[in-house]
Amino acid sequence: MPRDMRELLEAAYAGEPPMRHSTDDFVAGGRTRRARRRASWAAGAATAMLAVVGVTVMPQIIAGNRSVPASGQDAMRYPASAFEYTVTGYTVGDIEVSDPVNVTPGYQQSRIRRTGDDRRYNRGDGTFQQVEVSASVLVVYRAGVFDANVVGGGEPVQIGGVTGRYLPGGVLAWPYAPDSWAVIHSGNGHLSRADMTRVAERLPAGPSRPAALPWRMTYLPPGYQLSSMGITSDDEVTGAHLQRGDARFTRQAESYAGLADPLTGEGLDNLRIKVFPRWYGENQLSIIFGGTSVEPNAGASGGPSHDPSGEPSYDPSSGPSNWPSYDPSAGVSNWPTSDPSAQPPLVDPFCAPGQGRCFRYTADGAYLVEATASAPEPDAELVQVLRGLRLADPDDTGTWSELSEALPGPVR
Amino acid sequence: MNSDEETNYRSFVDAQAHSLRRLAYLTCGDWQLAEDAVFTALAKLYTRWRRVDRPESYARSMVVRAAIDEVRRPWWRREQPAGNAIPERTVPDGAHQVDERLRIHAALGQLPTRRRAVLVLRYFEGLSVQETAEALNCPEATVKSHTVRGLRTLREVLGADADLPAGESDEVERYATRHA
Repeated sequence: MPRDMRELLEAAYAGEPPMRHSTDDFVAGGRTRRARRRASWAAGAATAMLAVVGVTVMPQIIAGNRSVPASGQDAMRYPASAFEYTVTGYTVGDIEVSDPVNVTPGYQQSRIRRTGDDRRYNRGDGTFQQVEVSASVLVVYRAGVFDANVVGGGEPVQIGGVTGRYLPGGVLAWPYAPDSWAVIHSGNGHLSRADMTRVAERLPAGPSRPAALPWRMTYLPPGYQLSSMGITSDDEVTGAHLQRGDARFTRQAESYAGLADPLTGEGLDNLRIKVFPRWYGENQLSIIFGGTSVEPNAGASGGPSHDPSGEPSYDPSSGPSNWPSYDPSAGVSNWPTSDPSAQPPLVDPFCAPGQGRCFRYTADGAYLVEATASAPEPDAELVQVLRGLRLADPDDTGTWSELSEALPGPVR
Repeated sequence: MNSDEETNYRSFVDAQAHSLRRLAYLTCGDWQLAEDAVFTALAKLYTRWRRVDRPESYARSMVVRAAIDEVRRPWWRREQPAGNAIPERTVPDGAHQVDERLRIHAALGQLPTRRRAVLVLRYFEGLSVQETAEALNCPEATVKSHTVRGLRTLREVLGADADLPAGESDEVERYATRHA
């Protein structure tokens, strides 16, 4: 027993972990805060000036998705920093273009759906969930990243005074600034050429803003760097809106020059983190390990007119679940278990040995976090990644953290 | 901030960051939240460096307040990992031996965050009642009552072998009892 109150308190912090932030990080944090305050003051002053002269701009500033007139737009300007968004979601008739859902140093991607495109999922507890679905995608590339030669043989299309190129397979590309291209990839039969042209003509110039993640993490295996991030992963931009956060780290630097399509880390050592609602996460477990997945339950409300992903969903009536059992003494789980009633732990990670896949539920059981590695990584490394990861509210982007706080120091 | 001021700020961070994080940890019970609180507080200090006369006092106050705020944030309520957080009750090991540190964690975990902050500032940082009240922006009477109640809780949880301070005074004890 400690002798006095101070000794008691000192005993409580024994075994403290190393600091995540260096002195440089603290200085950078201070500079960022100062810059934000100055920007806020400037914005406040500008708003006051506009109010004085009677110009109403607030609806356009604060709206998430909004209709944008085709005329009177500023030119799109790509952010200077690697992981920033500049596209802002907008609508053209019944076509909805989202805020960017994935960003890399070379481009940012937005989903495109039609109002009412959704899919009905059986949540596994007797209830159903209507999930929005996107079949097309808008990619806005940084200057010099997109290889315009790949669309050189397309039909010329006039878009806001510049010449774009349309490929009959469902691709429209156009330069939004010198040597800077945006590309719309339509799902099969989802958007017509006229639809894509209207979407392209209304691409708005939005303010740059830093990307954020729904977690803060303390550990990554050595050598990894952030390559792509967002609400959804770069290998699942289209399809049902099920993910609640993603980051892909690579050991090798990706090259952002001469691209014909967005990258997905093919051929590289990737470490991915994805966040799903629990009900869908358990569906993923059944797909990966149990083979019990089924197609979505279209239900009375009907399915979408376009279903580009064909992603299966979990139906508990289709067969028994083989959830992993957790062995605290081993630190990771063994899979599969012979105990049909075994349930996964709520907090401690569990792994599929030999597959480079580990999972962790949040304490409230609402979300499943998945960490995967394409290169051979010990499960213990993925477990350490998951143990050091703390989720914000994945459904409230206001609680998400910018990269300076979300990632371990060496990765930022 | 000019280069001299930034050099001074860096020296301050080098010297104080670890102790500030310990202060935050004792307040909020989680190392990651503690470091977030320190990050937030030191970022604020950076923007006010020229105007702050006593950076140690300012940073200490800001860190404790930020640590209290971090605990109140919704994502904290949602996510409570088993790793570094103060557990709600002691966890015996397989041989039924109670780990002393877990026991102390459990005792501190019994205290409301603000009450724990008062004890940490009083007995870990060695602040007076007045200084603690200034740091937490609350009346001195509140500091006294939190002190008495906090110590009482710790004695109850840790048992009679804990050599803890007796509290502020009989008058404060009566005050705390009346308002318990």
